[in-house]
Amino acid sequence: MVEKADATSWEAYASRSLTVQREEFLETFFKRGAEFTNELLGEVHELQGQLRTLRDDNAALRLQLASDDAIRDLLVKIEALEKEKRSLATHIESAKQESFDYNSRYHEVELELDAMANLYVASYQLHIALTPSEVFSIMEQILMQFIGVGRFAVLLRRNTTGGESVLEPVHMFHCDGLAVRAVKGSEGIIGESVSTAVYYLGDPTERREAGAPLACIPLVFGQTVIGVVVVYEFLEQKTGFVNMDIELFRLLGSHAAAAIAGAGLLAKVGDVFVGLDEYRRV
Amino acid sequence: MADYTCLVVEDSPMMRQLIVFALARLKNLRVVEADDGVDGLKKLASGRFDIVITDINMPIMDGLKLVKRIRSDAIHRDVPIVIITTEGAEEDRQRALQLGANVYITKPIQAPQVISKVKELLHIP
Repeated sequence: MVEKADATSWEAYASRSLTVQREEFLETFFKRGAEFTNELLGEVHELQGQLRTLRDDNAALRLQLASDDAIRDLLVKIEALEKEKRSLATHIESAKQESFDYNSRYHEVELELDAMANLYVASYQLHIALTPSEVFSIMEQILMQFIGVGRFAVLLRRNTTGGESVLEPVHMFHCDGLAVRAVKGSEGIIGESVSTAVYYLGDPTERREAGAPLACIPLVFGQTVIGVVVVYEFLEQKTGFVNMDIELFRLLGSHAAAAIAGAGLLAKVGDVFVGLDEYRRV
Repeated sequence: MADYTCLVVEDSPMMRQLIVFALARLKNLRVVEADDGVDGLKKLASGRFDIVITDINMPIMDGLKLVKRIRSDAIHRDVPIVIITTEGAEEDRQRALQLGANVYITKPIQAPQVISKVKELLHIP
């Protein structure tokens, strides 16, 4: 009976034990399942976090790359602009030089135009002078107003019977106090200028003897020297010769000589038509 | 039609021609010429002038008398006057300026100098 009771109790015990064991197993199983699930969830969260981090890093890297590209583009642009700046600077320098050249040339042209006007007016006036007094009046104006001569004399050549030539003063301008006299064809500075047909220019700053020429302009008609303009003094404000003076001396040397010869011939003949008859013979 | 009128009073036809040539480079400037001071006064009475350029040594009426007459003229008393002369002495310059001349230029002249002074007095840029 006891044994039976024991057997029954063993079975009950075993049965209960199995139940307990099963429950314990189940409990442990689910517990571990829950833990595992929790672990998995944790890992999932962790992975999600890492993924977010990676995404953020990726986005940051993308931004960095984009920024680097922009910088690269900017550097290229800066380089291009620098090149353009250098080119513009060269152009500006070139334009400045051109402008300077243009201004210099403009100034030169102005002076040339001025010289042309002087020569044109002087030549024109000499060519329309018909009488010796008109010729001398024009010569006075050219010498005083265009060149700045204060005192001068016109000496004309006369051939003597002995074959020598003498230069005789025929017109004087403000020569009071100067001993202007006739000069032999080869005497002194005046004679030398006439015999060589080369104008003489002295130094206005140097002291000269009273009556010594400052300049001599031989009057050349064709190949013949017919006289000379002797300059004794400049106007107060004129300190030296300029290029324009030389041009006007050249013009005077030939045009004034022709005007003097022409006016002299006309004065001698007295009638312009006598001269014109010569053209009919030609 | 010219914007400005200039009276050039000069007895030397050559010098007058040269001054007229120089002034021809200025656009819109009309030039009237006179032989001496009296002729200049007659021309002044015939119209309105913006500037006068005059020589000093002239027959009948010299440039200094002309300057005095212009400065006492109701219409032209304020007109700028440029003297162009062979008289280079400082006292001549001072006298002309005291009488009312604005600019004193001695001969021989250079056209650019005359143009520059005229432009300055007429405020031409």
